[in-house]
Amino acid sequence: MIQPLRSMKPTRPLLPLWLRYLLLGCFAMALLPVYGQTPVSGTVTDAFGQPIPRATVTIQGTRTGVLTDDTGAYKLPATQGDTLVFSFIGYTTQKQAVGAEPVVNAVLTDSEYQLEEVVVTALGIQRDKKALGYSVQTLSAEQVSRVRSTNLVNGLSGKLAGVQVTGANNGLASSSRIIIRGENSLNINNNSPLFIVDGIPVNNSIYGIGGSSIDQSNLPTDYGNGAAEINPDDIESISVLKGAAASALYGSRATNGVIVITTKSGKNTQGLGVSISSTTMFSSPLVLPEVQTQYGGGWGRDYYADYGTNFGPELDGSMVLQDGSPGFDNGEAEPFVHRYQLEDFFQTGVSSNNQVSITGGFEKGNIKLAYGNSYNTGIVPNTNLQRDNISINTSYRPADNWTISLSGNYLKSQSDNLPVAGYGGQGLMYALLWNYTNVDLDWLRDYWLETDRVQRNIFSWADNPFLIANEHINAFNKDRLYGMVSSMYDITPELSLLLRMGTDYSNDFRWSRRPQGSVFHPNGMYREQTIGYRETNADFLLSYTKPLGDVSTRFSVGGNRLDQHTAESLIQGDGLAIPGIYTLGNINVIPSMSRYDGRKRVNSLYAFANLGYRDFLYMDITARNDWSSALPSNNNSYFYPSVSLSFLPSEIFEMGESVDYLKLRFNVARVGKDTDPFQLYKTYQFATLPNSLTNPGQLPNANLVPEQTDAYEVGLEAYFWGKRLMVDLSLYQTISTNQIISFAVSQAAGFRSVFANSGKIENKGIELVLSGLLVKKEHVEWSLTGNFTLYRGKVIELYEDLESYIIAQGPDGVTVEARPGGRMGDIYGNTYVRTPQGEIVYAENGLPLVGDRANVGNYNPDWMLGLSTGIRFHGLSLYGLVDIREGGIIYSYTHAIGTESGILPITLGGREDGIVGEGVVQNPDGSYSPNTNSVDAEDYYYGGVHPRQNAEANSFDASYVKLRELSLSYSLPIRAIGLRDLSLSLVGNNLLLWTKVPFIDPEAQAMNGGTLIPGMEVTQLPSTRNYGFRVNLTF
Amino acid sequence: MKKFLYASFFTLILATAACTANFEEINTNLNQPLTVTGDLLLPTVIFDLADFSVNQSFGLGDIITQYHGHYEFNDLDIYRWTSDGSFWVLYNYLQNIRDIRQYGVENDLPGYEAVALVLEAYAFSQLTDAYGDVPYSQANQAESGIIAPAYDAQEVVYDGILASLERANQIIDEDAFVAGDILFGGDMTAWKKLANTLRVRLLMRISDVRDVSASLQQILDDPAAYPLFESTADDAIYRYQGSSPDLSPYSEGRGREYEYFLSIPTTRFVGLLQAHEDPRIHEWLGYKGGTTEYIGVEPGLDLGDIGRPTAYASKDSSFFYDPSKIAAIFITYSELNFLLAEAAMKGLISGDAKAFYDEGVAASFEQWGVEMPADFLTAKAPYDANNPDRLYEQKWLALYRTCTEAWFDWKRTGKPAFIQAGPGNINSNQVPVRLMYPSLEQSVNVSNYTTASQRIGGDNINTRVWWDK
Repeated sequence: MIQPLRSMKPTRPLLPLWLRYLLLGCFAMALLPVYGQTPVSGTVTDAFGQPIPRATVTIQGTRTGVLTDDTGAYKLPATQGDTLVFSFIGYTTQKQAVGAEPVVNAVLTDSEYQLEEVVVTALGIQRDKKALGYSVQTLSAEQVSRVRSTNLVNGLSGKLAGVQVTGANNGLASSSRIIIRGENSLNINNNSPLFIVDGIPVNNSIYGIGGSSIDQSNLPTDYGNGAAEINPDDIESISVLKGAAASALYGSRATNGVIVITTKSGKNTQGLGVSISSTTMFSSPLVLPEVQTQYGGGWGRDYYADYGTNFGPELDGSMVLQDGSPGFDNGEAEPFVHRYQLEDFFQTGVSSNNQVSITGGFEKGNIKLAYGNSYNTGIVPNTNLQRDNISINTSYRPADNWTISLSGNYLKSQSDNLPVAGYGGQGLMYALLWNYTNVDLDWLRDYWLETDRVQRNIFSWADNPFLIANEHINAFNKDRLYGMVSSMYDITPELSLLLRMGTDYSNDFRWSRRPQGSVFHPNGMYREQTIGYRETNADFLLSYTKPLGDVSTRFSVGGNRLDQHTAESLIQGDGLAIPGIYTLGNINVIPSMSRYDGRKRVNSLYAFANLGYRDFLYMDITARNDWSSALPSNNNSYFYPSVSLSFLPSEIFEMGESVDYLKLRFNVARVGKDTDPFQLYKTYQFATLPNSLTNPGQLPNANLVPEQTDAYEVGLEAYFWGKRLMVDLSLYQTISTNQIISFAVSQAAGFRSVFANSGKIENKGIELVLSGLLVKKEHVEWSLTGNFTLYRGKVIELYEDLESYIIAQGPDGVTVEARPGGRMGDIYGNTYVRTPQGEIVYAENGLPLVGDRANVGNYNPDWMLGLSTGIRFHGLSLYGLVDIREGGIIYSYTHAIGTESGILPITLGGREDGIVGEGVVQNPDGSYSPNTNSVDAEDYYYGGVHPRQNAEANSFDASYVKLRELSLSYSLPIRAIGLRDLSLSLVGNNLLLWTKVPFIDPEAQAMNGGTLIPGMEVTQLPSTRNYGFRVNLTF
Repeated sequence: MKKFLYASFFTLILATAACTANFEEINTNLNQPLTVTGDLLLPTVIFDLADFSVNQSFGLGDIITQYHGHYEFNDLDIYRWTSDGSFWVLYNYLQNIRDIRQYGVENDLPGYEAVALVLEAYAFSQLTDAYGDVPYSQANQAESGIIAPAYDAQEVVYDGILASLERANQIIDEDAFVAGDILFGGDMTAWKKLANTLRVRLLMRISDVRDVSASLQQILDDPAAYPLFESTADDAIYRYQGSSPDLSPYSEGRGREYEYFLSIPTTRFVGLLQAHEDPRIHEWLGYKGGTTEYIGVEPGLDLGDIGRPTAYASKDSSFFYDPSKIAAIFITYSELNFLLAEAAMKGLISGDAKAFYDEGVAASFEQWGVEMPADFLTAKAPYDANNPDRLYEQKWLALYRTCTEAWFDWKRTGKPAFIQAGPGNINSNQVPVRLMYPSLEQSVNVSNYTTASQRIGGDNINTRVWWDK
């Protein structure tokens, strides 16, 4: 917190709890003990006679004050004639004079109709929400951590209008994709918002390893996005700055919005406080492909080994010699029956999270120390993820006008094994979708024929799934430190100077092992990858605040220097001398090695003015200039301004009893943006053989200019009926031009892609927050909140007459492409051939024809709605969050593969007599007649009816309704042994899913290296349903 | 004083913030070199071309010329072909070749220029023989701003690459040298021979549409000026070392067993080898499991009619498990002799077709390390002037594993005649005669793609290229 809170007005109720504590703490800190007066005591209660603990009692005009205890009682030295000021957030401040009696009791009433609300804005500046001309939405600590997710970002889903969160299903450390107000960049990896923790940018990148989602020998492993690791229990609040005007002061990287996280501090405590929380959750697969139970392995109703397809004989118990069966080696036939229980491969995951924090508030400062750990085991056997996190947050006031703060977080994340993501010989779902239904998984559990050398696999082309789980190790060990030190000095009462230095430093060491005898690494493989990242930000901010009559003013100038350094190295050896030993020294071939070391510096200067006229008109003007080392020297400086207006008609016009507050806002902003290092000049890459170089696949460009995003936003905020109903509506338009992208060119030009400024993307959208307190009685409360998101991203133009830009490459030629006139997120692939009437055209062989490539849909939803409700009854509260997504498609590889392999129940039709597909055949004269050609079931399903490249046939309406979060908690009325609060909760997330998409979670995303591809499912692992309990203790 | 302090503070801040003095240093990529020498690019080009040759040989050549057939994933076998970018990757190699050539020219090192010209001719010949019209004169000029190159008529491409080979032959002399030559170890004479041998191949390729007899005769008449391969020792074959990363894409350690054995010998291959009791069969193929029989699969069967691979012979497994056994064959002495035999037979050159044939067959046996039966050229498969198919059939065997050369040859000659569409084909019983352009061209190079497609008579697999009329 960089802004002193001295001008804070009493606030209305239902403010987030954190803010109450925050304010409280600040007041408390300012209080100096005074001695030698008579003690005055009393209790502070609410209108219902309930004690108000931790209310502030001060003597007007002095710094003397105390907090009430748990019974609402206080005692402080005062003299007769003093005026006591009783305050507590959410209640009307009350003043009482000290009379002859040494007892002064106060009854505080709800300050329901006072509407000042304070939010954290850019640069951590706290401002009255009414003064803001742009949209900001906040989440409280409770909203973030009530139901814990392993990935912080997943915990934001459905809670914010205009924000789309899509979690991937790639194992325990899965990344999550977060997009605010649609995708503005053609670079699919450039659409993440900026994450700020305590004023300092933190890294949310995904550092990939491995190839594409169908790279047989090198599938990627998902180690998670950077922000995933932030401990939700440590978060005091999250402020989401959605538009460019709100985030303009953060510069380039804030084009896609900013997530401003404030961590918990000791400001809310007087003396020592201890809080402990513990969550234990269990996870199981939410959706699994169904396995048919009627036909076993083979082809054409005969059993064959090594086929992988389940078009074999009926599982009727007849005696068949079956590969992998216990009696196989002795040539013993066994009954041909259904034995494959896919769910048996998975186990119940357990996640245990514990957090202890100690807070202390002292005369001249405060401190918070916290330790948290989380240990998770996955539904995939032999996978785990552990995080340990120590944080300190402290501030000290050496003088009344000087505050020094420090916030530091040390995070250690590690895993002994994470699964690979995608489709290929090393992928688990690959092995499981091609299994034979007559094969018992138990036949495969003992996966070594000869330890560390020869595996027991029933197919020559795929690894045993248990070998994959237990021997295909992808481990990591990551240390991360982020935090800041700052000094806030009031030079005069009007002029203050903030100096701040912060860093995010991490070192991630990863290693992978493949044993000898694995299908793609018969000689074994060992790989080490190290990713070092450091970002340092140095800031100053000089602010001058002075009211001039009816006009309140604040002028600030600031500067920032950003230094970024990424160093990645990789060594991989595809051969091991001694089986089972995984070290660099045991590599017996020339390993492939690479090193990347990249730096960037951005210097910035900015200035802004906050002007207010009376209580109804506010204007913010910002201007920022950046100089970036990543751009050509003649084009490395770029300037961008913003203006925002807030107008409160309710302050000047009579609007009737029901309207408490009405605000209109308008803003216009521009943000400039640079690019990554080294995009200007061509350098030669090291090639496969030692002593060799090659041209890069991408051609850099020395004439790049900064990217530019222009944004316009109008909005309305209103409260009705004593704040029982709250509405926040925003409409926006964003136009991004001059994007620096590497777009595919004709390979005959010598390069696969060329860097250039190009493209124009327009995003329009509506977001609406509607919140109602339906019931508010003494012991009963019921609230309902809806967060509605609707946006459309449109591709206006690409480079010159380029007709298509491939945003992401899926399997089998299925792509995400930007085409002028199309939408962002359009999926292209082959289609059925259809008659003008829409009937599917079949070939003579009875199989549908595969038609041209076309747009088969869009991965973005038509709209989304997060609906949450809270019911409180005495100490019992029930909370639920439902995520609704309407529209958009997902391309499912599980559907294509599971059909090919004959493992899905949808492949049962026609097994006996063949299939006549529903559609037509084209006659020689061009007319159509009904298809009557019968085709064998195996030919029909195996690459016939919906082959992989047929994007149309394998895409589904991705609409869903998800019971995202549910919690039932009980706050125990125990006030003993110093206990202030004890609550027990039953919690769960991703509990229920309703969708038309078969076999998979519609939120699944493919992963190519470090890129998440929404709208494409490439045999991802099942998503998980999580449920458990949580205990909170506060002393 | 205070004002002065503030003023200084601001000046300092402004100066620091706007300071971009070391920006260029920060943005200098120290991970990779800005410039390059020919000796560092040459191994990359040869290795990439070797991989290309092996990949195309196993992935396409084996199937389209019916040495082998897939028992699964048989779209290729039944001609369910779509857009194909697999040869277009040569343009990436050509970028390195262009840089080698430029390095040679700029530094007056004719060895590099000559080697680059030979490799360039090879790469472009593969491209044009597969697709027909392809970008040539405007290719590889992204750095000059051409990102959507126009397609040249195949005839223009041929004129260009034949001229390149002629120039390469001219500028190679004893003083020339190259380093980084993992094909011939810097032996410039070997490159000179390769230039001329390749030229013979390409002249024969266009022999139906151009009179090439004078050019061929000129080469043959002046071995001093136009040296050709003189023995199998001259073969342009890249031999992988057999240890990662120097492994073929189909060898154990880099490729998957499954992919290697996915294609099985055809009745054509087994039949021809058995017809002449050709011992190369034992080198190339393995018996049907548990037997001492070679059973081939009929090419182009409907997938359902194939059954399991256990019913058939297989490819010899040692080529997979012995990591140094698969080699990348570009062009051989054996092929040269078959080319000359055909030329002599057709009267394009003076010379004894039989002698060339005999030498070609013998060289093939030598190349594969198989002892030729003494009566092979006299009794089992003697040259037969009345049966030209014999020559083409033996050439077909000799071209085994030589990229897709046998396909290009078949397109021109229609031989061996037994290459016919199989019963499961979906291409109206026609064997495809070209690849379809990569689908990306339809997105990023539309107008040039459209022009070229119309010019050649449609971008489909049955459009004949210029030399294949």
